[in-house]
Amino acid sequence: MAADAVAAVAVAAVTDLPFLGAGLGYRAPLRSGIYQHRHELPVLEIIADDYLNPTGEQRDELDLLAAHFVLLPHALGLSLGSADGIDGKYLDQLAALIERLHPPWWSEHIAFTRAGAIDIGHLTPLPFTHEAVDTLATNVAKVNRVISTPLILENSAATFTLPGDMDEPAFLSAVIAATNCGFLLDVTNLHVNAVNQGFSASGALDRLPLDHVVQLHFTGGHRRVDLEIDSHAYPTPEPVWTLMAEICRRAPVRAAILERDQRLPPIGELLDEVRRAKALLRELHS
Amino acid sequence: MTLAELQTQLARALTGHGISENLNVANVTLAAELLVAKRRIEAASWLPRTSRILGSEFVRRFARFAKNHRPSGSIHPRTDAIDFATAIAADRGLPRRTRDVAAYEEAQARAGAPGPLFIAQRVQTDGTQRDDTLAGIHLWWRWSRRSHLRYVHLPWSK
Repeated sequence: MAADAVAAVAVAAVTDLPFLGAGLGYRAPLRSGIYQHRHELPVLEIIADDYLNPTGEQRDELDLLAAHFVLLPHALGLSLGSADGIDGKYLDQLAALIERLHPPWWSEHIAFTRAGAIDIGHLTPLPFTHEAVDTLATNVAKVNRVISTPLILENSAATFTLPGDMDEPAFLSAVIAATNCGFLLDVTNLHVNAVNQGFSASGALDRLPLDHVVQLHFTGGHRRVDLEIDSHAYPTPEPVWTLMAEICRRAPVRAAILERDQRLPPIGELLDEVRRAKALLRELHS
Repeated sequence: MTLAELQTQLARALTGHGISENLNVANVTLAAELLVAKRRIEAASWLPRTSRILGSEFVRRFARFAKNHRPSGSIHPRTDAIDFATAIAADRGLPRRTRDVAAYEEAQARAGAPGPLFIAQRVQTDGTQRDDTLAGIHLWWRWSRRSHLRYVHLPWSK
């Protein structure tokens, strides 16, 4: 099949995915607030790694969540960018979780977390090279043979960049084309990288594969020395909202998830952000 | 340098195993510091009482711990927190109560992980805490590896 035909099929697959709206990354301390406001939260994203080897309590928690919300598993440790390949045990556990939840899609990062015998325990950026694109494509193909649910890939934030053959928008486009996956565009990560590396985030939108965007992430980070840090610890800043509005006008976004991990505020503050995202998505569908 | 070589060097640099001369990447040191900060925040969420008792000393002690406790296999936040709590509980230079609280939270974190069937932890008190709700014997157990965690606290009789 010609490359253009493959791309056309992939884009059609993106728009075939259900529209879920705006939701929240599930964190246990938010549990009671989330259930109280469940009518406002049609979709939650769960950290897949927290449930790979679940205890009895975690199985019950998942079943209860699944009874009230659409759950989107978000994996952190598959290490799709590892030159060493995929960890078979992790993949099998992830496949079992996804089989249990039957989500419309699931997500992982364009990054690596493991090299040699070392598990970094943190998403680490890849060099923007053809070798990294090929590695991702090989690993994603292996994953797709085990998990048939659509996989979408997320752009990562980076506090450092590695020498490469291309810039970030070109790299992300090449990855999405080579893997034929949907795109989880983390708007905050795009903003953070643009500030730290001195490029225009809105200008980058023209070169990103927006027609493959399935989902958005948004949150706020903080500044340290002269770097923006994607800490998921503060409200979403205005430049990120501006970018989101632009993306929602141009991309077939099916869901947007607020990711807040640190300095968790009262649920009402998070819901205000979710409502604002919902309004942007509504404009997309009006 | 191949991707595999670059990734191995980065992984070593980020986890405190040393920065190779071949690795010429600005901000890797800062990224390594951020990684330690992330580990510390996650450890504090597993060890809230230990974190409160130690205050700013928690930050200093975790930085020292992270320097010597380099992940060689998987670095799950819970196991990281358990290992740190173990180190705090074993530190004879700290007050007895601080060590006891760390040992309690270590046992609690272990009990919450899949696997253990029975964990008991004794928490003493030095009598200086006005609200010493932890003193006594704590028991966590499961009837089978797949069943729910049970917990009982047997306070010291006054």
